Amino acid sequence: MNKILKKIINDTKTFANQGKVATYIPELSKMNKNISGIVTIDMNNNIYSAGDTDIKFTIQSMSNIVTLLLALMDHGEKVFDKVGKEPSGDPFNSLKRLTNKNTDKPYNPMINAGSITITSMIKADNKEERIARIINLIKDLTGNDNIEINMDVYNSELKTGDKNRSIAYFLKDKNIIECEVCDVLDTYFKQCSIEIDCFDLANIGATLANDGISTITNKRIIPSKYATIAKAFMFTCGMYDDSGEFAVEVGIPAKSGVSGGIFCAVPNKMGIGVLGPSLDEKGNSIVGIEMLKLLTKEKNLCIFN
Amino acid sequence: MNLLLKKIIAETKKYTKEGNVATYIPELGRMDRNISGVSIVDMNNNIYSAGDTDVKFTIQSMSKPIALLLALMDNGEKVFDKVGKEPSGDSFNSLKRLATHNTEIPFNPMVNAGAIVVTSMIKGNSKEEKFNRILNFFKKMTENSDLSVNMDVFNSELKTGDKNRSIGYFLKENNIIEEDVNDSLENYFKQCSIEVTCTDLAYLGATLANDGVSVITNERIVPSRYATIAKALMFTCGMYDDSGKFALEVGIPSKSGVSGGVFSAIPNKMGIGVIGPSLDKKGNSIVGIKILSEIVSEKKLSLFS
Repeated sequence: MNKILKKIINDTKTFANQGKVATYIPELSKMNKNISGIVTIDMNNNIYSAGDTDIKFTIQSMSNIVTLLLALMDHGEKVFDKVGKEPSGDPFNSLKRLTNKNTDKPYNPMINAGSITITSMIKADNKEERIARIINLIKDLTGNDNIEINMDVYNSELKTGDKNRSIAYFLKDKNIIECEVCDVLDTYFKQCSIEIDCFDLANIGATLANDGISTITNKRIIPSKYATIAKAFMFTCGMYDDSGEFAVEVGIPAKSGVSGGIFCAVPNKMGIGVLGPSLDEKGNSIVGIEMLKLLTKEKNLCIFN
Repeated sequence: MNLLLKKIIAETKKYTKEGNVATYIPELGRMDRNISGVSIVDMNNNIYSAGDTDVKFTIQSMSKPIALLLALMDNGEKVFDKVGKEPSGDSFNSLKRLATHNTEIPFNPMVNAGAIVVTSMIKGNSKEEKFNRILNFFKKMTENSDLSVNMDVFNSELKTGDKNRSIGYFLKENNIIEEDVNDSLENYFKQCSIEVTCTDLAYLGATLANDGVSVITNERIVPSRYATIAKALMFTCGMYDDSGKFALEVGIPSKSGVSGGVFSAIPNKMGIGVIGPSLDKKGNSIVGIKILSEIVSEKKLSLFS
């Protein structure tokens, strides 16, 4: 497997030239577009890796899955009173249709409007406790005790987050967000700025692939039902407005972030974490997608085959 | 299995009281809302069924993934130059966003705009030849050489199909439809008016579940790659704008039609066909979804668990 991964890294290296590193958060643009890495972890906790797997980067939208799981554990499926379950057909940060006209709620928990709402629902007495609970769940999911926030990225997000502020106040006006907007956004920017590496991502994927049970400790971290919900959302909405294309071309539950990371949960088989900071127009890692295409084909992982 | 299906039919019967039979095509309004049926065909061609499986009904939107397969076999993946792969977030007959803002092509082959384009791409020297190719292909996929068009429903669709005409001319104006609009629409209405039973639908599903190979003759009917594409699009867009919810709660590739039928393809396991004419607001069979939910939870068929 390590050999296959090494070959995949070599065969996909050149795709980095086709895209651009995200610049709308200035701190993200400092990433080297030519790095790439991949880690897979199977259900027996065998770990395989190749490429630049020691590099840390921020979790960004990949955190949306973690906060959804936490909100589900806090409220059960009442979460869906406030956020829908349907793909929107729009880009993740679109201001055009923040809510579904029929239901008057954000389309799904993966677009910014939905994920900010989800963050607002996480139970806590104050914003410090809220982010601490998110970080703790990430520690459980990754099996990594050293999870921290990158304060430079966080400050960069704080400075440039006006679009998300606009979204949040719109949601507050509609009573979809019930708590203090500034606190929610602070938590949201912080959760997006949590630093992880490809191993952490593969571990999150492996836990979800293993029905919510850690492959390291064999302890249940997430109820089975919620692990299924997370995988379904990753499949239908996880790759921004390219989710349909990804479902056809790759066909595994996956969630991407603008830092260039993607994590995947292949049910009962493996978790995968990839990194490649160069993004396509939709905001997905170009090299990351190419690596996943090759690996899925090589190992016959598509859920429809 | 027959016993289980009988039990499920009995337990879900009460849901036939909820919702309404489709009326926008007058002929469909005549269906008896109290019927319900289910058929399953596994990979060894074992057939299981319960309820009203001898009732014939028109295939409607369930024809869309089948017509897509024929268009793919005729044109290869150039089909996707004219129709996308993304869920739209809108209802199937919406006139609001007939094309995506970026690409100017319909969102996917499961909304009416996309399906009409797909039908226009099926090859033939005349509209008659094109339709014969469609009908023959449907006969192969259902393993039923007696399939025919319900002319009453076809005439009813012809009379009331102005919304689809509007869509057709919009697509023609934008050069997405290159063939004659009237011919394309006529074949589209005809393809929707093909009569099937639950068992026909179960075979459609079984052929797709079996990687495109007939479970009766073991002969390949569609290339593996196209079978995967059809299953992926059924999964992300098959249940109208409730596809995301259905992915979460049921989690198998399925396609519904306004006649109240649904067919599902569970990779390497089985095809399922259900009927229940009473529809929810999105246009999906209420009792059909209940029957599928029960089978999936009983037999653990969700692709994510």
